[in-house]
Amino acid sequence: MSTLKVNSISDAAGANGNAITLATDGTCTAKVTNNLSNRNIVINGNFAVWQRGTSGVNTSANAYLADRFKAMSSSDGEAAVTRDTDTPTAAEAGTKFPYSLKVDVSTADSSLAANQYAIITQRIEGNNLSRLGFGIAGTRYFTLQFWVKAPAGTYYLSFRNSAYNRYYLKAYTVSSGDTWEKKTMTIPVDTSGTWVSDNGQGLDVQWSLGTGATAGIVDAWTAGSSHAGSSQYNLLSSTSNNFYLTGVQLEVGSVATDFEHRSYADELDRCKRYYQIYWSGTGEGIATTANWGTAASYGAIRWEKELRAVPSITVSSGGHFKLRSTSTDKTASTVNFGSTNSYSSRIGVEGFTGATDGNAGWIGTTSSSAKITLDAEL
Amino acid sequence: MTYKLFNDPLESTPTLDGIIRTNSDGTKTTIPLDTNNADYAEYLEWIDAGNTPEAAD
Repeated sequence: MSTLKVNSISDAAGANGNAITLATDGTCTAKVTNNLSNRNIVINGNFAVWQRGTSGVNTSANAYLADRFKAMSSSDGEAAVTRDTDTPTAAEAGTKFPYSLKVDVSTADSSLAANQYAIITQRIEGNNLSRLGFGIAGTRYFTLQFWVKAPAGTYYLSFRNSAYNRYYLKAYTVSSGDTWEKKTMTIPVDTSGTWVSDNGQGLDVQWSLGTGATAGIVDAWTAGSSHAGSSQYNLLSSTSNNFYLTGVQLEVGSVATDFEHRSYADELDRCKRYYQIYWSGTGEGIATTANWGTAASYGAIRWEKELRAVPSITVSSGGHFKLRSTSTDKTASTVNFGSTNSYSSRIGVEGFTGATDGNAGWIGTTSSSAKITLDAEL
Repeated sequence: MTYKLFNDPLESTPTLDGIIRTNSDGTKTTIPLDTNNADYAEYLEWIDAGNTPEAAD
């Protein structure tokens, strides 16, 4: 047996830093590029989870479709956001992503005004960002990688804080139009500015699809806010244009490691911190209640898991729900919620007559379209 | 899209407990009075723009 006594190990060229650095206390630091878990700070980077559906949202709606990814635009054009099976081949990527997010221009706007833009964004919660140390002194980096298929041209990533008074622009080039390409960029962590490190918005990561605004400053953290630098390609310029995105990973350090595939259940669970379907379809397990007078009944409900913040609650229609407290069902006209917090709420069904005050009951559905959703997105 | 104030129906005196937003597809969203909620932040911007919500029942 022999012992190799060195301070570091690097590749043959030695130009890429040390792959392994050994400390005098017998420990080492290694740049391992695969298999370690919890590296990807982006949630749903492989676009596996689509709780809201897989089509039917335009960029102008400024809404989420794929979990955690929001499409936004302000322009005279329009683009449809959908889930797509077009992804890089296993031969191209060395792995396989389940889906991509597709932006398909349906109405062109060949000349964006100064206040017009189109973007895709993921807003990273401050709790998940604190490990990067934004806003404090020191030299640190994070690395973003993604696969893109789009018209050839120059595009930009914009990284911004929650107050939108600090930004960093990074350009990338789509070399071959409408062909999958992998892009990787390493960004220094901002040592200035105010950065949220709790359950608020930490870092806004934006893919610019076009802007008419004055070009921002590239490759430097800058005061203010900007979507893109000079010569940003205008995706909205033609209805022939499509933009596909998948394989998004943001991680600590200056090395882009292999994409971290999490199980579908794990990815879905992470998404549910921001959006949950409390109820969908027919059934009777919504809540047990107690009648409050003769025209209302209330009960307590708990969310499947704690949300990031107190959620907005959307109900398909009050008439999709009914009170079952006697042999005759009582269809509601209103379903309301009160005393809501990040893990529970009070649900009420109202708008009928003839219930018995103080009796118990439960809430059922009258329609397969019955739906209750919770939204605590950033 | 419209906004309507929502009072807690279990309180004997009117106590604001949320905002009801009627969406373009007819669904209704109960928005909490919490500045960490994105919909409530959007509602406050709507108020700042000079708009007034419908009074509570």
